[in-house]
Amino acid sequence: METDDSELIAAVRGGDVASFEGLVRKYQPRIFATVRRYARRESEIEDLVQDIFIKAFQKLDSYRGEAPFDHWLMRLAVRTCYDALRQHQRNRETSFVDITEEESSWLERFAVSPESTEHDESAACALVNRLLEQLSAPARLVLTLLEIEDRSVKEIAVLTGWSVPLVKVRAFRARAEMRKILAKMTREKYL
Amino acid sequence: MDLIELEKKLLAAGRATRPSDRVPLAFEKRIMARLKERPLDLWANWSGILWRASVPCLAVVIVLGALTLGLDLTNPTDAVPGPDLESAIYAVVDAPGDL
Repeated sequence: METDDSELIAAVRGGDVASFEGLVRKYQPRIFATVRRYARRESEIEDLVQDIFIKAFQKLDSYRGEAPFDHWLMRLAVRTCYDALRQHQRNRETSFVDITEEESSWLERFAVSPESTEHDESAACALVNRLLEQLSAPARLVLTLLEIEDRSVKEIAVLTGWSVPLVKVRAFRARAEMRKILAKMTREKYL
Repeated sequence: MDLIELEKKLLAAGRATRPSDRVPLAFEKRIMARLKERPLDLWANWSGILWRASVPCLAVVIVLGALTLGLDLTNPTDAVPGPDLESAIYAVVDAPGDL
């Protein structure tokens, strides 16, 4: 598998642009899945994936082959998603008033009896997405990688380019930010 | 409401949902078309070449600097211009009629 990648990369570096298609074809499902964690609209997702592959093509000379190509590409994908999150920071919603009836009913059931609610219900999934969308860009990235994708602090440091202590600090702040939003959500809903 | 429990439950919901890895039809063709229509950016290429050349240039400057400094230290008298240089410079002033 690795030989295929290195052959394709060498061909692209040698001027054969068409060989890049093999790399796109192989890695695009993984990149789409990653980008869907940070963007919702399909057009935005496609634009982001396109940006990632174009950046990968432009920066291919900087890939030194010390780590597998997919690790290098994932770093690029995560950093591009982070930049996009920062750009869209101003458009973040700041209220939970528009939660759907289904989500509202899940919250009500949780308030009455937390054990009766299942975490795999679609309402819970929609709520967690809504919650993540309200977080700041660093908080959303670090919580997605740490809590949702279950990655280690070291892995996050490599993916984001942040130092290990910075990842820990941002994770701590992100949890505090999330609790604040949850508290606000329940206040809006029940007061 | 137990916010800690709610947080745990929502994060578990996030973990349980894997985003789709579905790729739009012929998406790789779109990327390749974009790459092929990309205009040749001469300035970017030129700055890239200059940037790459800067490291060897810096190395040459350091080596030459070290060599010059080394020569100056080992033979300090060489650094002082001799009387021949002085007479050559003032030759024009001393004998303007010769020109």
